[in-house]
Amino acid sequence: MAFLLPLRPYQLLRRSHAAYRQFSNARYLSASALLRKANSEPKHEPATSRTTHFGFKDVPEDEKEELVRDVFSSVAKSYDVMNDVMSFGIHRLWKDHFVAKLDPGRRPGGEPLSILDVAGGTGDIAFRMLDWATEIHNDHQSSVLVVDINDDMLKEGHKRSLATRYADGSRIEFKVQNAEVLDAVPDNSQDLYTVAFGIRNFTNIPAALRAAHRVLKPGGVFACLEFSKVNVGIMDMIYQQYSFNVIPLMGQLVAADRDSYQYLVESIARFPSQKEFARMIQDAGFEVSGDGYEDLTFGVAAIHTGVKV
Amino acid sequence: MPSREMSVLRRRPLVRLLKTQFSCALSRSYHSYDHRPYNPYTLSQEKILSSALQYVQEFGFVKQSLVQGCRDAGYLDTTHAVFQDGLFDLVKFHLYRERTKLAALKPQIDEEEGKSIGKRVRRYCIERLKGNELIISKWTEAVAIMALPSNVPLALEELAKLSDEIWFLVDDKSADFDWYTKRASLAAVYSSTELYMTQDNSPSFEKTWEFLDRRLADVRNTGSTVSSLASWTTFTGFASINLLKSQLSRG
Repeated sequence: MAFLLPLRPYQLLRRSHAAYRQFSNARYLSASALLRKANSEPKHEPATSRTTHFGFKDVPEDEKEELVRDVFSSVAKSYDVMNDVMSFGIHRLWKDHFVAKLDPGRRPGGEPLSILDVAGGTGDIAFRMLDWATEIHNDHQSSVLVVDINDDMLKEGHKRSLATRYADGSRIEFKVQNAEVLDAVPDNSQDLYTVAFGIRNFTNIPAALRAAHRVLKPGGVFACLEFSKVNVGIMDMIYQQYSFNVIPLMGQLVAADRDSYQYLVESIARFPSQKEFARMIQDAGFEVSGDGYEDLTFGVAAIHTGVKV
Repeated sequence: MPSREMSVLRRRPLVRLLKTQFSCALSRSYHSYDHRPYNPYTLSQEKILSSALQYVQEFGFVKQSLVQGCRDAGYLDTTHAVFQDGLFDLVKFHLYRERTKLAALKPQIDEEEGKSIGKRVRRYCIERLKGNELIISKWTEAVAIMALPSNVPLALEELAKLSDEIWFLVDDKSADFDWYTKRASLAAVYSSTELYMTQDNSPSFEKTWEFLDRRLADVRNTGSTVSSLASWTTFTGFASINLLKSQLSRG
């Protein structure tokens, strides 16, 4: 069955001639990097000199999008399993808390909400928000537009929506979009912009934040749920050990895809800290309250919120 | 800008002692009153929260008040999600606003109550309690929010700040452990009176002021009782130890 799956990311990287060059920032040398050093392949200078990080590897910017897409194509079907493995099922509590905090729903005397869920392919957050609005606020009109760069994830989400009460598609819509551009979303049109466990995969996070600022109405809320830096020293040590030693192994055993999980834990390590990310959100034009973030489970995950002014 | 003399009063007893005894030429500006007043709320937050407080009289300390406040301030219904502590942010804002109003009353209260510390403390407590009058029917909801374990530390900090503010405005010059006991006792008096006020139906809250008077009298009596008890205990303790020593040295 393995031969039917698309090329794994590390295979793509090895075959690409516009390959990564430096490992100065890498804390972990992947097997492919060790092989490359051993074989001393002739280095080919890439066409563009702008590189970004893909986990702990550096790759040209124009390639990262495709690589990320491939990672998520290969994990689309087992996305829930992957999340359960990585967080012991706590991700469900995190997502529930995220939605409870945002408390979406049409208020008495208010308008129905337009919610944009970015990188929310399988619809985890979208369904939770619609359920919350419908059950808690008796709101049958607020709608969610789910966008993702990966069509496979959206297809999975659409399939799941057919089993819910939103099967007719009047309240939920799925579109392929690049979060840094969002060309199909008009300016000042969304009440709420959410991104859960997606923003660390973006090539250009400031561009995505600016796009979020563009599509939100003035007063609209930007909310991001993402893995972050653990704030307690000992917990951090345990967490790092677990991340780099256990998770890829579990990925191999559970989903037969070690490299995607390796990329995922590396991308978590690369993501800025809570304070830095709050700073980036403010730089994009959002106003934050207090610190701008809330830690979940000692900082393993964090919810950042900002309002467009 | 407060005068140097006033600024001495805010300092912790030991530092004040050192400062007055060895009046050094070096000036330190690590006290809050040596700097511009710090407002922890941005303009937009203040706008939203103050309009939300107007709705508290009608709806109570619930999300709906915050949402209405956002709407009135020109924001969307979803904007309430940006407040990290949710409704506790609303409670905190009310506490902050009422506390900062007290400083403006100083000239009036000093003139009306003269030099008496007890009377002025009583006046400040009453003025602060009057700040709760409009929302007192919903105040128990706020107390419930403050009692949540995640909110307790900040709520206690606000109470401590209020107590400190009142003693500062009364020109408290204590330079020893009394500094701490005064603030602790006033915090206890104030919080119990505030709770009493939530179920007081008398006209213009007369019963609450009487309750406050009784609590302040208690503090005075207890204070003198405790200090006499402390004196008696220390004397008896030393006397007993000396007696034992003399018995032992007799051999």
